[in-house]
Amino acid sequence: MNTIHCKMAGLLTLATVCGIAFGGNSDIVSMRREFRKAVAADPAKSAEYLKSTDPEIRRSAIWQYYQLKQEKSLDVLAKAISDADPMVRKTAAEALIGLYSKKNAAAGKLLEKMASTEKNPDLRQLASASVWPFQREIRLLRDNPSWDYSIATVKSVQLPTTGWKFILDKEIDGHKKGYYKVDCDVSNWKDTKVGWWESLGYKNYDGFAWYRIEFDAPEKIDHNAVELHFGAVDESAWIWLNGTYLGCHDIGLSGWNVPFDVDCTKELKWNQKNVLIVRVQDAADAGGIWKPITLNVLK
Amino acid sequence: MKKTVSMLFAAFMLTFCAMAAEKIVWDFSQAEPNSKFKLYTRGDTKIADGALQVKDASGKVGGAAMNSIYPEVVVDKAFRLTIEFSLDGKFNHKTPAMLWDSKYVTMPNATPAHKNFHRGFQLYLNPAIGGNYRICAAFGYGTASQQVQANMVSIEPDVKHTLVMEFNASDRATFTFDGNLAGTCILNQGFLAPPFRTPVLGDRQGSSFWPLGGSIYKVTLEKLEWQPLQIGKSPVDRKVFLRGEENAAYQVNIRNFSQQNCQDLTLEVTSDMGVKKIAVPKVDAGKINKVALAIDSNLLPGDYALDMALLDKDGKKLAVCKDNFTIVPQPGDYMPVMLWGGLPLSSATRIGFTHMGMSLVPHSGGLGPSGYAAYTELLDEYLKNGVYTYAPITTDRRFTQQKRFLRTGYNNSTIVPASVDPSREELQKELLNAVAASAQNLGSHPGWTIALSISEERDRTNVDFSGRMNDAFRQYSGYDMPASIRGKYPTARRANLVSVDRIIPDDDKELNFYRWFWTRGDGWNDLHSKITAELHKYIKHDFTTFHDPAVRVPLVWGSGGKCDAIAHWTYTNPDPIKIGQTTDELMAMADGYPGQKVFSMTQIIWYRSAAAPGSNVKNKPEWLAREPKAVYMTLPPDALRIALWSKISRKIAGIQYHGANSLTGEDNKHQYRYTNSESQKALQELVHNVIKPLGPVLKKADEQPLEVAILETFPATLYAQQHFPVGWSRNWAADLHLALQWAHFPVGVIFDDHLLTNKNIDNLKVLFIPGAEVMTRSVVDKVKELQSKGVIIVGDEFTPPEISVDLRLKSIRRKDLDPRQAKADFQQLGRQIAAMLKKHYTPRYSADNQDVVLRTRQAGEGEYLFMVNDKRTFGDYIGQWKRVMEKGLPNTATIRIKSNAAAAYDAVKHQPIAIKSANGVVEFVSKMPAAGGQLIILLPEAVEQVNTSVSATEVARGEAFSINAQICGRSGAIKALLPVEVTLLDANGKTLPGSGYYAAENGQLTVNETAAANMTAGQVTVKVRCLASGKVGEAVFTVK
Repeated sequence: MNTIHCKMAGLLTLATVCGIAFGGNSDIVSMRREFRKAVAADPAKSAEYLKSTDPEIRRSAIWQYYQLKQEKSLDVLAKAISDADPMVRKTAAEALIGLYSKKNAAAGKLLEKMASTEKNPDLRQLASASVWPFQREIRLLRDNPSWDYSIATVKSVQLPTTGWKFILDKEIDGHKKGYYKVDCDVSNWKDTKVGWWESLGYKNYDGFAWYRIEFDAPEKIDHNAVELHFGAVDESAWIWLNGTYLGCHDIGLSGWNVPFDVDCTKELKWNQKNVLIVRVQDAADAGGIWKPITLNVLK
Repeated sequence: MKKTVSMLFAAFMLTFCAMAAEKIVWDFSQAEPNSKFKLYTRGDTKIADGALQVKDASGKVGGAAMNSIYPEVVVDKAFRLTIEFSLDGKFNHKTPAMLWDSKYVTMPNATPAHKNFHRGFQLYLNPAIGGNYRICAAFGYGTASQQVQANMVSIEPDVKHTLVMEFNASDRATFTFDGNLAGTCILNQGFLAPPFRTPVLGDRQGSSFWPLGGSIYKVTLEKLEWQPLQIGKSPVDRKVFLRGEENAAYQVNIRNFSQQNCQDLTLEVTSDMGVKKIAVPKVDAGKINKVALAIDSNLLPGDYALDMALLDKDGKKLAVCKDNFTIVPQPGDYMPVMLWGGLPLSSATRIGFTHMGMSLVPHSGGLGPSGYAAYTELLDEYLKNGVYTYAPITTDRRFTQQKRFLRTGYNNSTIVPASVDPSREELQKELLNAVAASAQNLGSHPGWTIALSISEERDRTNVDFSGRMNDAFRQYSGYDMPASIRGKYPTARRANLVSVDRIIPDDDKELNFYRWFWTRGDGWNDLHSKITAELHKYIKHDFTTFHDPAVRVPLVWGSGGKCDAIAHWTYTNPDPIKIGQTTDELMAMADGYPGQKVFSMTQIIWYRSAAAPGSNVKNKPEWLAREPKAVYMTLPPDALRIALWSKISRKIAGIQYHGANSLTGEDNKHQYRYTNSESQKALQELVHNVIKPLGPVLKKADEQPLEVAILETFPATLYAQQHFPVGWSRNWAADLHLALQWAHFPVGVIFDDHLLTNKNIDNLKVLFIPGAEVMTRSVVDKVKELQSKGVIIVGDEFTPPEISVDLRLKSIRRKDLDPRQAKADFQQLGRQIAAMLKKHYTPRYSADNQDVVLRTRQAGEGEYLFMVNDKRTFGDYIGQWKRVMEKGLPNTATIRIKSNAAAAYDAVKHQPIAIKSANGVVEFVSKMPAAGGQLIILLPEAVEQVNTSVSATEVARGEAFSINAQICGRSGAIKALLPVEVTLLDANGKTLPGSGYYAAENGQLTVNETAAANMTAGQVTVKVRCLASGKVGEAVFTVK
């Protein structure tokens, strides 16, 4: 079994091309076939494979066990999120998400733990996203079905494109550090401007980062709504104004060049300094707030 | 009548040429430019310094008008107008520069107020791109008008130029500029109607003004002799014919512009076909009769003179005309090599392109008689040079500018870019009418063989929120579009937002909507099918419609509708074998429509930003000094070579290229820059040495049943596009395909549709499911079913947790890797996969060298092993940037293939290769040149001889005969598809029709031919060469 275990470890890093050589003696394909056959005949047998040295069998057994036992699988899942194998951890996380979606608080806690301790960034993000504490649906004036009037933009103010503060969030825990708060200490944030962060010195960085800008709002005028219009953020954005969460633009890779609006009618401080904070995620290629943001007053 | 007849001896030629009868001159170097036909200047225009000076009138009246409509100045029949002029260098033309206007309104509308504007004519210069001018004219025929555009010319300011327009009152206007032909425009009708207003020089007659912005020095108006009875080729009919074409006929127009009906006429035609006399039906006054002159299309290819004369009943010549017709060889069995766009014919034929584009289907309406005539002439010219034509059909401009055809975005927003709704009945009617009109008028031309149905339409497609699409979807599904729909892709990126286990029920409403949208709901596939049907309704020769790019969509069967072929364009950097990946995707897409073929296109252009950004490199290449600002550059020659071999190793029906100017550099202003002159040489060499001789076999040899497949599952291509090529041959799924190619796996691509219909999966041994973050329940179940039957399932970290994989990969992102490292990593991945699978599956071929990419096809008992040398390094063209290893290197590899073949042949070198054969494995060593490819044909027995015979020993001219050949081994004809070259030589050593490249099916070939009436009598030698073995068989026969 030790030999097989060794081969399994190699398999899991197969495509990471870490230089592990594979011999021709192991036959994990046959072994996994046997596992599937056994579990197909009796799903309860999955419990016998939870400690298999083959991580794929272990992973599959955990999933089947979760399917069978649901919330009673929490103990198994709690251990599995610390498994040496990332795929086992991922499967455990997905099972926990399944339980969390059914309001299982314990599952939520395990996910939160994973969101802060998991070393694999993809898994950390998976866990983090599932327990993301900020929820708000963007409702724009034009989306209001009861608003049966034409809408005119009576004032537009472009926010500054320079003078931004910026910090990477490699651990995806900026929200826990309070980056969205007005009184957050930004002394260690870098200066930046509107533009792809690759061109601003963060070459090849894919992940999360936070932007912050202070801007002066105009004097109050008659209005029905105020919205922030984002020219483009590459590619997802979570937005706070003066510490209040406004919503997110998160439509995947295709969102990099899609303009969007968020309502800030209640949050804007007229004729005062306002603090806009944007959490940005980029999953591929360039990233960042790369087109200007405009404050639109609507009537 | 007698007087009329006496005037009829002047020849009416296609290039109009006649004697001047009267000449009226306005010479502004004289104190009085013309004492009889007086002018008066208008506005700020003055006569000074020997010229009529028409300066910028700033919207006010200018030019010089005649005092009255002098009858002598009225031209209605043939005339020549010569204007010597210059343009003022300081003048910035925003409106056309008018030279002569006796018409007032260029193209009047149909209102009664405009009825008098279908009179007279205009000659003017239209400002065009690059500071040039387009020569334009408009003619009024009384009840209709016609505007024509001749060539674009460069007009040096403040320099005297001469523009001449000849109007032949019959079918064309010819323009010369400074002595050079500047265009011939086909006209609709005969005479001009006399003008309604006085002619004006240098500006419009009235309304808004088009001042010349320059000087006119001299104007000469000549009325030309003109014959009321004329003969000539019908402009809308062709004069180039395929050899052996049935019912070939040269169409002669007999035009009667006299006031009387003409009858008892005979058309006498003298040519190599002898003297033919054709009775001409009565030609009514003012009418045209068309007479068909049957052409002996079995004449040898070449040009043939026609002397035509129109005779009265007494045999007196009333009109004469000289012309010619051309017989061109049949295209034979060939692999199309299409250029998406155009090149000068000489360049196209030199390189070996078989097709170029021509806008035969207009943006709106029909082309009209003049358009059909002009395109017929152009099609003739192309065909005469051996170049066929594809016609693009588009919905751009015609519909995108009309709001009624556009879709509405979410919340009544405007969709940018504009998204045309192809399901609109009016749109379909208008478009299909235009298609039908072109097919009816030009579709009989054998030079038009391909149509491109609406390219890139899916890039602009979108969901319509006007209610129409919802109605259509409700009719299909029984429920409304889900509220989550915002556009053509889902808004939820993360798979776990779709469902916890990432398995979607097949009837999930959102998924169902997107499946409907991408197969039928957005309407484009249906429109492609209708365009195809419309073209085939009228075009009866071998004709192919295609659509591209067909796999720049979430992958589900149907893209391109029922087009005869689908295609795609592929950028071949950094690894040119990626074109194999795209081609495999296309073949998977084509599986959805039985019989649909695949074309494969290589981009000649590369984005500079991806291959060689900036200029800050050491050892700057020479092109960088010439083209420092190039945005698009030429692909490297070795990338072209490898890509070509990679694509022809698949069963494709056509080869395409795009970006002509980067291949030849003939347009110095084009954005596609010409940075490497070797690429066109590479293409030329490959086309002439590989594609032409082997084309018939390349098109016919079949793909082998699929053993190793990559599943690109539809929901994942929707919800997790970042893992998939989605048309760009990149991302994890595409790179895995490369890894498998480098590891010598016979890899293909399948979609959900294949699994759910059991299409092409009977022989499946290994199924890769990369990037499958989301799958449908039915597909997961099918995967598990296959797995239970022994198919090895290879997943990755994205595979839904329910699937217990046989092997799991971890995806590799290429982004941060340099191309050398990336290639090494993916090759290592391929090796590792092969090692892990070894006990359960080994590909039927292998090489000791991963830089040799292998693939096989089959036909009968023959096996066709394609080998591509992908060994590359950084070269001195763009290697300095370290973005692409563009330089091929020689390579040697030992190849092994499971086969009982007894003989193997290099089909390019036409010679046997040494093999070792034992225990069902054939082994040989191959030394391959840099970026080279090989086609090795493996046969059950060696070719011993080529038996060649002719159906008769003596053949009379005009008589049919056939050539029969058998490529034989010891046991008879070899049951394989074999490339063959047939050569027929007459007694003088001249090559005869029937010569060309063929594919001998089951080792047998029959070529049916007809001895031409003008063949040289004597012995004809027939040579049949097997292009695998190089062996030749000969036969002779005698032409009497």
